[in-house]
Amino acid sequence: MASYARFFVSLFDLFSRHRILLYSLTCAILLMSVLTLKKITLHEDIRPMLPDRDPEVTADFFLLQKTPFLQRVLINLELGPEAHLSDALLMADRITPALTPPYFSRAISGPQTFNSGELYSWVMTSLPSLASIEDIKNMERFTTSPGVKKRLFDIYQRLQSPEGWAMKPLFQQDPLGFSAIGLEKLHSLNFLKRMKVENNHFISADGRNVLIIAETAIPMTDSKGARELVNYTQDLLNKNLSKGIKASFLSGHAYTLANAETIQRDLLVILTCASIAILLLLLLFMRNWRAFFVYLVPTSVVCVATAATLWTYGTISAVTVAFGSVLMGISDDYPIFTYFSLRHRGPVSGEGISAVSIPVLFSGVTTMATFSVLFFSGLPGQRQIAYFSIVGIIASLAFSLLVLPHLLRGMKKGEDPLPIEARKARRPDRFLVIAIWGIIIALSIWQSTRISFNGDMRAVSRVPASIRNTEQFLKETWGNFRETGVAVSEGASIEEALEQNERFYEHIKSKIAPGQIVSISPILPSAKTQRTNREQWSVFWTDERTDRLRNLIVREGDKMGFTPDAFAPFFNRLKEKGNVVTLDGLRKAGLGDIVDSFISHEGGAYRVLTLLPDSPEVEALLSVSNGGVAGTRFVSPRRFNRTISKFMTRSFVEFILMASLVMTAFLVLLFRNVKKVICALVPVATGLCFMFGVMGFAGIEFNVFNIVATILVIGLGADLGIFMVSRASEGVDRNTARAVVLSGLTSLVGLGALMLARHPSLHSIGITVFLGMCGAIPAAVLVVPALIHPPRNRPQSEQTE
Amino acid sequence: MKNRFMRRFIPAVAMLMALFPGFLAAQERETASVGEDRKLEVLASFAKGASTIKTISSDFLQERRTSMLKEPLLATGRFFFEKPERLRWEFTKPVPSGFIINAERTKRWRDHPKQSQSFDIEKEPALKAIAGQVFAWARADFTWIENNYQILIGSEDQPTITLTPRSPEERKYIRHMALSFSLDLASIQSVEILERSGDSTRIRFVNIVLNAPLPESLF
Repeated sequence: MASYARFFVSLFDLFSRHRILLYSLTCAILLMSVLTLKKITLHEDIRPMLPDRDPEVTADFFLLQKTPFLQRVLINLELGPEAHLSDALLMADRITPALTPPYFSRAISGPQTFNSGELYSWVMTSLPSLASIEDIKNMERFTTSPGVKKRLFDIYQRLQSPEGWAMKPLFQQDPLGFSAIGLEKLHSLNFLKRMKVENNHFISADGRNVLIIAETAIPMTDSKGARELVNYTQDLLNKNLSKGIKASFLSGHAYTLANAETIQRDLLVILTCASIAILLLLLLFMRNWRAFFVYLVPTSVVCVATAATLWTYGTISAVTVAFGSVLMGISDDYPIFTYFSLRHRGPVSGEGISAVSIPVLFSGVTTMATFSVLFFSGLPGQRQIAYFSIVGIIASLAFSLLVLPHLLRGMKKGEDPLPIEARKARRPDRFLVIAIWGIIIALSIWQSTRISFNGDMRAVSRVPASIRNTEQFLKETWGNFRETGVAVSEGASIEEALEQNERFYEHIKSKIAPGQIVSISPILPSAKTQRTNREQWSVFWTDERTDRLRNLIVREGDKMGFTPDAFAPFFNRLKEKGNVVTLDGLRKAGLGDIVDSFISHEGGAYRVLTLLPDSPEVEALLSVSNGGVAGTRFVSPRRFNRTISKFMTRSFVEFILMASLVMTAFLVLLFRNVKKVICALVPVATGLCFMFGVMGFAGIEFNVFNIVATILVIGLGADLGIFMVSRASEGVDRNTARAVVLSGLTSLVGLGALMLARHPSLHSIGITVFLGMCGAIPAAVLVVPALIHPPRNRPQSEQTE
Repeated sequence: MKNRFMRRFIPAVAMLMALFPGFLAAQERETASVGEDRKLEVLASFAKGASTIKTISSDFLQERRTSMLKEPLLATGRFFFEKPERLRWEFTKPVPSGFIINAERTKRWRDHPKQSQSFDIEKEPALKAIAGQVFAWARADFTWIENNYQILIGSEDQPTITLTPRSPEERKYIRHMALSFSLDLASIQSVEILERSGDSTRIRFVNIVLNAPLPESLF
């Protein structure tokens, strides 16, 4: 211990001789930090709070991002009571061409321009490749005598009307309606269940909405790009708004922007309020101009910790920066304690610093140790917060013990104008205190059983009412296309991926209700299947069968007045083997927009998507235990949230245990006395019980951010416990007592500032820690002394034992 | 009196003519243009007359010749138009069928109008062309017509108006459409449409009534 004391005395003496060097070094560190902060770019997205060490979760998250529409901007034009559809169509036609780079790469308000003739022609030429053996067998019912008669009569009737005139080539190529087999397969691409195509535009089923779908290269996580994109889109809509039409749009960028703007506003409010409140508290309690030096420590610490995090990680999450107010509340404890301790001892000296360094360092190390358990977290955001906090605490300890004493030199002993004469107030009855504490603990434990976990990351995202309403409206108007499960079939080549996709489709098509599967498999089978289909087609359409059908059509047609060659193109087609269906062919047929949404090529792998209902039934069907389909991964937003929730629950228990163990170990090391250790744990236990109890009672759900908050409650509660046990059992002076109260208050202010946040993540940290500290502070101030002090009526000899 | 009748009658006939996606004389013939002055004079006459027309109703007889049928397909029906954008085209024999375009609302039927269904006019190029032309003629929007069709006015001894589509899409199906009048321009004789495939349709309008009130139920 003597060498430890000599170390601080020596350091103080050294820097006393080289004070300029000390100040220069400190200023240099601060200057470097401030310069680093000039380049700061905040990341407001939720990704840092998603597990990055769990390959399953990472893969699910990656694949969910591939869902069609998730990366796209949807613009909805809603007709008012007086507006006509033509107005909305004209507006869509004005807006769509203006959705251009750099914000948009492409925009469509309807299917690619094609005429129905080309689509029919594509279907007919592709039919031999598309038609399965079941489809071919179904053709037989078209080729019976009654079936042929009916179809020919229908054609005869249609030929009289203008619409029938244009259909003559189709009648000649497909008199029996075989194209219906191919067209039926196109239904499998219908991902907007309530959409129809009219006037070559996407129209809602009720005919009151027009949809524009735009693609953008701006990543959803780019808040700056999101702001520009959202502003551009809003301006464009405002400029082109037609009377009686309401325009709205939805994209992940709107969420990003809403979150970014909220967090940025929150940062300003939180850091400003915390800074001002802490300064006022310091001035109020210290009533000395040197309070500014004390105040410089936490403010400098936030700069240093932010810069260090940037240097280490390259980027910094906005949540971490918001944690700055918490760091201020924690890191000002050490300069406060140093200040009051030195003032109590008179002129600043190495011995005085050495004396105060023990509780200060111990408190700091305990808090750091508690935070360090977050390094084991699977969430990168939590690891970053741990790093940020620990660097901040180290900086605070260094500033408090090495720099601050030199700034406080000249401070006289007894400079203590604070009239805390209230200390003479009667000490409350210890049994009453313990009884009330016991009741509160019991009630809290009872209510804490009702607490629930919410793993849905949307619960901690800021979603303004306007966006929520738009999302709900689009869901009701066009169908729930943003919350579907995605099955991803992967292959090293497109052919391999298509084959896998085909196996998967065959596996599920009979098990999931028709219309619920959105897949390209029926219109883009693998080359192997297409080859098989064509062979089966040739086997079926033998010369004999073709001649028989020709004779039937000619005979029945003759009766109605058709010429013998009226349907010659049809018979020529039957002889053909048919075209191979390719992606390019689909694009030429006007289906490129849709098909391309289902295929991606990234990192050397081809992925083909299938959209499925995100229901428990589908999940059960595709679960590994149920056989699943090897090579295809089913990703469901519902399951993803559940996985996160499970992960959180597991992490939560682990972290509470780890933090508690670490903290207890440090307390044992410090006090080496069971009673004192237990008493020091009282604020922690009370804070946690009270926090969980109130959350359970009020129905506040536990989320991913509350884990950090819980660690904080443990760390801060332990600090209070250490200070109060020291004070109560070792007769610490009244300056120390005041330091304890002031540091508790500044911590409360720093943490409470987070409650002013509008962003759910920050607000939830604030409210949780506030609740915890509301339990921990009274427990430290009232319960710890009541437990540790012997009864007043006991003999003095017993009290001193 | 005769001039007044002509001013009202000729635009009405032009609108009827516009009912068809393509017009063709039964035999494609080289009709000599009588010059820009005469075209302007006739179009001006249409414009003046069009402004006085509110409704048209008429019966028609249709004769369609197609390579798919051995004999011409004969049909009869009724036509109704009301400004600005209401159109009903109805076959009564041999197969009852028809369609209605009423501003944005569209419907069509086979057998009975009560079984009508809405349809996407974008997917029916023939009907779209019909509606587009009828409404353009009703507005006397010759700019639109000239942008979409080449207009040829026949000479006084061969009173015809021939429209040749300019759009490549429409030209795939329609060669041209022509309207023939009697020599004194007092009455329309026929509307003929020649398709690219060689099929043709000839329609004769009878019992034309202008500006008679039309029941709401028609549309």
